[in-house]
Amino acid sequence: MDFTSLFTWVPGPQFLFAQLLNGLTRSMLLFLVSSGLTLILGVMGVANFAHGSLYMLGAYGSFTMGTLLGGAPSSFLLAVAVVPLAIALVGGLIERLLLRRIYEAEGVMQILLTYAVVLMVADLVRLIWGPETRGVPKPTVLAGAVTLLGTIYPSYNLLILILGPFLAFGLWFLLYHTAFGKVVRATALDREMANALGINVPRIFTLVFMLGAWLAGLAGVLTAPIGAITPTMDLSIIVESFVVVVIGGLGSFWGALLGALIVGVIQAFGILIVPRMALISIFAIMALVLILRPWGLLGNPRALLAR
Amino acid sequence: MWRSGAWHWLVAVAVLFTLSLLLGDFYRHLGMTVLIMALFALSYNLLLGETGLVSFGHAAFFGVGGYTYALLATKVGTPALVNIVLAPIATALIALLVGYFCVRLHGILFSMLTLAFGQVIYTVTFQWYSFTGGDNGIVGLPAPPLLIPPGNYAVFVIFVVVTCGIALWRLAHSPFGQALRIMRENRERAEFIGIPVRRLRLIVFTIAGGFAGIAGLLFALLNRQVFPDDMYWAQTAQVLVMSLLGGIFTFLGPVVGAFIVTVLQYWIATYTIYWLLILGTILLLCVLFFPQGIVGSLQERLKHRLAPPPSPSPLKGEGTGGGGLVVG
Amino acid sequence: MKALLSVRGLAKSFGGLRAVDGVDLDVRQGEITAIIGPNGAGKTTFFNLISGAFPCDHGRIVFDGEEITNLPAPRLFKRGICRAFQVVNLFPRLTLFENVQAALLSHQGKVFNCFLHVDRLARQETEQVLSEVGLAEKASLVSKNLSHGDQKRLDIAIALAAKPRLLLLDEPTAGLNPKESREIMGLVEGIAGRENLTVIFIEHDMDVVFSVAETIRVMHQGRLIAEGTPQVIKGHPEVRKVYLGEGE
Repeated sequence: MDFTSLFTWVPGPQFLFAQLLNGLTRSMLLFLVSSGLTLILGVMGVANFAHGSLYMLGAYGSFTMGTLLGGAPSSFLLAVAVVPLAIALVGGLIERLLLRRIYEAEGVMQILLTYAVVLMVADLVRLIWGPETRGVPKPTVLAGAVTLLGTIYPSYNLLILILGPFLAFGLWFLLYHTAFGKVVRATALDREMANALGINVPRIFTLVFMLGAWLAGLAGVLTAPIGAITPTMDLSIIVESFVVVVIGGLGSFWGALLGALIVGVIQAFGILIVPRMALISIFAIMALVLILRPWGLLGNPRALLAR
Repeated sequence: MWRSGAWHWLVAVAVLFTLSLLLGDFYRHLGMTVLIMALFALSYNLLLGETGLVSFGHAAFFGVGGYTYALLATKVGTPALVNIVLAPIATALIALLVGYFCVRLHGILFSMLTLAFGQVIYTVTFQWYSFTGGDNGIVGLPAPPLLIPPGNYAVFVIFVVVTCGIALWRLAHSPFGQALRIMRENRERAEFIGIPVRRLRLIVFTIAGGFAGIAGLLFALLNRQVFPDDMYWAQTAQVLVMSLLGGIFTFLGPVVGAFIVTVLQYWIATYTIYWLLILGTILLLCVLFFPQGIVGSLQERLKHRLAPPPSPSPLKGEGTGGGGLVVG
Repeated sequence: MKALLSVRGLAKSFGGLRAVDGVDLDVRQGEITAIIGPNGAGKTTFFNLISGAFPCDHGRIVFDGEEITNLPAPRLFKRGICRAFQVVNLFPRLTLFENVQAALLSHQGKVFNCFLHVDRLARQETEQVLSEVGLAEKASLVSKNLSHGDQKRLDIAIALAAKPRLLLLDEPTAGLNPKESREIMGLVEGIAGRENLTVIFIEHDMDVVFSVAETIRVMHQGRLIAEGTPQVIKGHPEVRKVYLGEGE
């Protein structure tokens, strides 16, 4: 490997700062997808491989919204409002019509079922939207850039950066400070006990799955203006999200946040150091975490034993 | 059936060989692909059906088998026969290394770690242009002169696949195979009847990897090329669908599944490019309505038809019913 | 007489909870002893420690003159320590025959044998074990389809298959009606008497305890607070205090 090329061009602090911001933006999107994934895993015990497909549908939904409205300035806002709800509905249908039939069966069958959805959605997307890469223009208000500590940075990315913590806070509030959250956590802790206490567990499952789908759909819509919309984006995001969830600890909400920060930032800088190895490093990190600390950074080792 | 294993072997080889003589080039190639995929699926089901381990990285071993041959042939230049022997051994060794870490984990974490290792192997192969040719693969592989005529190669494939199939069958019906099912059913209790779970899992992981390597080697020699896509995790999904469709609690299920999926893929490719949609639909229907798979359901029906009165002599069978699957 | 199993200062904590807190115990060859105590006394944890489910924090376990502290379950099985479980713990989709046969083959050291056909191995021994517990007729059934009572029998049959020297039974009569309880314990007594088997069992049903056990150990808050014959235990002040809240 040619290491000298690394030293001929030393990135300036401003560039590094911009790269850090890029990484954090990515982290926020990853967190949106992973928090839903980890929630579904924690509450329902289902490793939802179709989560990336929901994210992809969100991005394509945003694209369709844009074409339908002919690129009206309000179309992006409308997409943010409508598309995630539609994805939540899709998620609800998947839970109700498919997953619910096999809760009695063991874990693998659920994995396989969601995997079947992945395969089907991947081709349906190609069937509906075609194989070519699609894009969504940034909303005009956010199309510009701002100067931040001497670094010029796109305002849209900044918006996501700011939005992320708010969403994380909102989710935390929902899970830890509302009646709904209490019921969800009780269900996650002990399904049978929750059932005995009169909690409508199937309904909680549907709602949790819909919430996860909504988050994935929202991430898809938000990523649409800054990333390429392709029929293969489902696989890359699901793999990254699983990495995030594993690093953070299966079913751990804060773990998803920490994992997303780690993965996003590592990818942003990894790509600078060894461009080709960024992808490997993610899997290598996942492998390392699983070998050294299989319950993740913030997960509970005892919960793992019970699993 | 047990003592007459050799007899079965001869019949299977003879039948397949006759078939391959009768068929033209296209169907011979299809037939070879089916056989190779059947071996691949059998090796996968050793983990999935017998041991209850869901690996998402098994395709990597299929790929390593082919790549070991390809790299030895093009970079090292060792004789082809040596490469053919070395490829499965190297694959088994890599499976041993990967398995050492994976078998400590259970359930979804095991699956995740196999995914991670599989994707590391895939990505290294995919990105390391100077050594593996990256996504261009390695094409135009040399083969031993004896195996160059398609007819000869067909005989070779039939011989190897049937031999491996019988070896795997004996394995599944040995005390070792029973211990695998014991672990699948109840890992905790298995330890309390003296079964060293981790060691046994490592052994079966290595064996399954080695047989996947043989399948990958045969596949590479069939097409005289290897591509990183052979290692991609979606490839593992395909072999998983084969096992499930045929029936994971039966020995022959994966073979039937491999036949159906491979033939369907060939046939459908001429009509539509939406192969994943079909694969996904099959998988969905299997999981929802048909978890025992084709062979499993047939066995069940046969059992009901014959309805043996409860006799003190136990019926042996991997297909002892049950829809779900225990993840150890 | 020399003890078959002797335990010294055995301790195990989970977080802050001292589940087993310094237990000393000697069980002689052929003894049938019951461990009793209120819920949470640490009885099952004690079983888990001596059967190799997980390692202890402190203490020593000696079996037949050899130290076995912290050996994993499969190694203890090889030395003749077998256990049955409180909650039925079988191989659900396999037949009764296979459930028992697997334990036998493991005992015979054939786990790694890839060449013999399993159907032909240990048939007689397996059938004999099954008939001992009265399940011979059901050998070809799948174990998950059994009644609870039969599952309990099978659970014990698996533990008995390998001709153990020390049999650990965790609540062998849990969930059974009095008739089934008597049958199962009669079975255990019979086999123990015939084979000079040493049995330790955890039990909540005092009728069972006082009719079967030769000696009784009482655990409370992770400690052994009393041991002796049923007569001694009945009159033991500590035991009365724990169970009846007497004294003080």
